[in-house]
Amino acid sequence: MLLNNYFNIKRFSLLLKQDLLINRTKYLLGILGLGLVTYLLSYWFLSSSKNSIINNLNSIYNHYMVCFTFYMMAVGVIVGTAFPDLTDKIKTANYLLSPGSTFEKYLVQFLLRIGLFVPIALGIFWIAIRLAKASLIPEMINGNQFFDPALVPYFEFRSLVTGEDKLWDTWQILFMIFGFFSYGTYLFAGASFFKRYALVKTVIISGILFGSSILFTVLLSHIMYPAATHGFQIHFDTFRVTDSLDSAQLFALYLSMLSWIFFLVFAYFKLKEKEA
Amino acid sequence: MINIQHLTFQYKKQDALFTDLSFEQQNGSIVGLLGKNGAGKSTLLKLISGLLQPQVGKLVINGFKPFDRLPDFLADIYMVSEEFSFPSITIGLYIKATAPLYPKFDYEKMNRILQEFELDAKKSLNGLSHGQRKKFLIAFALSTNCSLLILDEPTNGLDIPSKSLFRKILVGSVSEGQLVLISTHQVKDIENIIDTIVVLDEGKIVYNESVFEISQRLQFKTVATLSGTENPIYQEKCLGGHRIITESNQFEETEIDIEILFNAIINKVNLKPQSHAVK
Repeated sequence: MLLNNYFNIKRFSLLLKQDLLINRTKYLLGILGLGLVTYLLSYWFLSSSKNSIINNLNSIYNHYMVCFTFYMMAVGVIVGTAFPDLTDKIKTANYLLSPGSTFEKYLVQFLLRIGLFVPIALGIFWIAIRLAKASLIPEMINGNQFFDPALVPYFEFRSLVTGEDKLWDTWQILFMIFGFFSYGTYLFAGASFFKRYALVKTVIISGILFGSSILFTVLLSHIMYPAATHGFQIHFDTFRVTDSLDSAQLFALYLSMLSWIFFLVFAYFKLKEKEA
Repeated sequence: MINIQHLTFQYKKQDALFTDLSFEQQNGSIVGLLGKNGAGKSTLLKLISGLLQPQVGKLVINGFKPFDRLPDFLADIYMVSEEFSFPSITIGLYIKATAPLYPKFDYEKMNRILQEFELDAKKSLNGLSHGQRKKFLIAFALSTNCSLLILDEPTNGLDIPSKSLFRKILVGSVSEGQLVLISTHQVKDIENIIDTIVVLDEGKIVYNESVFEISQRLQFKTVATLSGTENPIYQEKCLGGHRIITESNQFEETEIDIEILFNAIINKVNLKPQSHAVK
């Protein structure tokens, strides 16, 4: 009975179905639009980078990485606009009176914006960027260099974690995967924290927090290591944890691997508080 | 069932809207909640539905504390607000998506009411006029078969034929186990459909009486002149004479004129017997 107050699988599936039925056109158009824009921008970016690709075919991976980073920012925009019903008074009342627990409503948004959307978005990216590469046209560049797209490798997710034909270290791969996940949950938490313009406010607050952290670290560096720190430098001691991992890297890994837990819990309780 | 005991509520940085408000109502009736503009009718409805939390007092609806907003509570109440918004989808899709969340939803009743209101399920909700959307919302609310239906100014925005249709549909759709709370300041619109009249004034329930009891005790008449009329309890001038409230004479039963009754209550006229006045 107590569990039923928080979670009921039938009720949850009905809430999820309700959201999907009501917003299906919006979601479908959103995904198609994202794919189309990604294809067009990637094609434009790869086309305008033919010079550097001819000189070094492997540089295409850097271009793919740039495309992927910008794409994930766009994905972040969608994740950061979770809880759209909390942006106006009338919709908020409808949302609050909708038969479901706070946890179920939270889970619906998490599942839609992260659990379902992110894998779909990654698939869309894979298709769009490969289509963009396939659309590149063979041509003479600078009058004497021939650009042959057939020689350019296609995008693979593996290439995002590969450098000089060698896979990154495990910790680096974990850092990247969880880093993106934590980034998504951070934006998701921002959407539950702010009422209006949540995404913009989250980005501004991130900038302020990041800048403040840097300033604070610079300040600490000057206090703790006055001789070793000059100007706007940061200095801290590190030590090796394993052969391929030092303490600073381990800290970064912890940060990316654990912060999503904090953000998810934070988002839930913020939502509960907002409903009060 | 509504059980409110000694409720106090105030909005931030404002004077208390309700102090020590008590109100009890069993299921099986259609209650008209009347009050002047700003009397707190909509706030009381929001408290009952769980959108607001009282500062002091006991508030129990169908055995639940509304503000806990437990799913079982939410699945058994439906509120038609004065202001509402819909997604840009068809009526049919909205029903398909939202109705399953209400376990007692009656699809046949929904179709019947839609037909009576002349609403086409294939029409987009946002392509409808305000009045049509309100009619749809009322149809949906009635079809949920929730134990408590809260209608806040349901007739606002409805044209004259729709208002009478609304009254007819409401009376024909509500079952014994339901409680319908209708808040309005357009008292004429709910005449003949309510069986209990509740008046809210200055933060208190100042009147709570069943229509049956009122008609047993009071008579409502329009007379050309007051001379010859024995001790009217309340009177108002009108075209062609006076509208009056008198005590019932047991020989004649008159239709209740809610408007004049409301005015009498708001003007603090003592509508005896004393035991009926809400403390």
